[in-house]
Amino acid sequence: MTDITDWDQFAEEVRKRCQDLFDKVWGELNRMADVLNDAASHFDWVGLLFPIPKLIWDGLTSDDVERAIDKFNNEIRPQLEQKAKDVVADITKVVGTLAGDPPGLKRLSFDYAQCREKLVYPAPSIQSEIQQLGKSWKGEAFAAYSLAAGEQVKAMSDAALGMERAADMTNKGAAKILQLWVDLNDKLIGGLVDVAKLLSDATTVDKILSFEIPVVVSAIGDLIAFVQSIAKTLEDYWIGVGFQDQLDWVKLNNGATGLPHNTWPVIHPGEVDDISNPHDWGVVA
Amino acid sequence: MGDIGSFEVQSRELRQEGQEWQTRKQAVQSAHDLADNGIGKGYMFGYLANVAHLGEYHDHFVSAITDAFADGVKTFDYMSAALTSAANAYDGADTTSAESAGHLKDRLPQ
Repeated sequence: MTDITDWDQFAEEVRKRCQDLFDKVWGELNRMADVLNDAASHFDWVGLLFPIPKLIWDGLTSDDVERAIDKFNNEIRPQLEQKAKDVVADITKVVGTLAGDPPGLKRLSFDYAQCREKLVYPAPSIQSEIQQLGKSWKGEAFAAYSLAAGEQVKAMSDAALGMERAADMTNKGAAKILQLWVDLNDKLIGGLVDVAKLLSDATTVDKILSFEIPVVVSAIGDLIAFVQSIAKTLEDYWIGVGFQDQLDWVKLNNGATGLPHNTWPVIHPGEVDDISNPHDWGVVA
Repeated sequence: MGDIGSFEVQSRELRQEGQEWQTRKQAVQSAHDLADNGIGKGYMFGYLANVAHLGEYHDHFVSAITDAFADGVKTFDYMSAALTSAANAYDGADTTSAESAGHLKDRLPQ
């Protein structure tokens, strides 16, 4: 399995695979052409010495070679070249939709997780602080402070929960993209091996004559089918995350998870007055 | 603001509690700075994710929570100042005078 860590590396891997496909198809076509040229040259040479219509060389007639050359020139070469070009164009197009920045998402995930750690740290509970404070402070200011303090500290834990969810989802998103990139690249490598094997079987004139073009075209076509299925998998994943599962992101976005409404709680004006006004302060006698 | 009266004041608890809000304020400030790293980074989820508006949800959430943290920092600053101000007023020390109510309120998010 290949190790892919970012988009540039993934794009480069796919570019290499596409180049491999071109090289393999063009290389094998050139090799087939050499096989046919070699066979034809024998008949050219023998034909000069023995100008008769049908000659046999290595079990082949000159008609066999001509038919093989016609099939190669009119069917095999144009169809395989076209299919390879189409597939590479399709792969490039689909892979473009798989862009993303998993390393960047991972970094954000760490930041969001650290956010949660900053907000939730070992400390006495606000209730115990209030109780302690109540031993030396009383009156309307203290009552107002007690209410406000509880709400404010709760906002910290609410926000921490939201950031924890954000960290989880960002991390999952990064992992999903990376996994699909690796799957796609590995499938391309495997598919190219299949295509190469089919092409490399055509080593003689009679094998070129019996060459199953649809089989090879289909094998090349399988590559794009898989790439499309990967893109669909990722799209389905995001749509599943985004809509069908009622969406942690939507809940975070509208403040249903974490800090309510994603708004820091406002201290009630009456409480602010009480806390801010010295005449409302008092101490326990 | 000077000495507000004849109370026998124990302001130590108020000052300690005021310091707790300074600690909380620093925590929320740190959270703000970390969340701020995600502002506008929704594009990182990629083209297909953004077909499902994931990037928008992310950006909207991070923007809102970052603003909320900024408000939290101001609010905690107010809480700390209010307690410290109360302690100062009780102590009646000239060098550590209490803040006026208006000045304290100005610390809150507007």
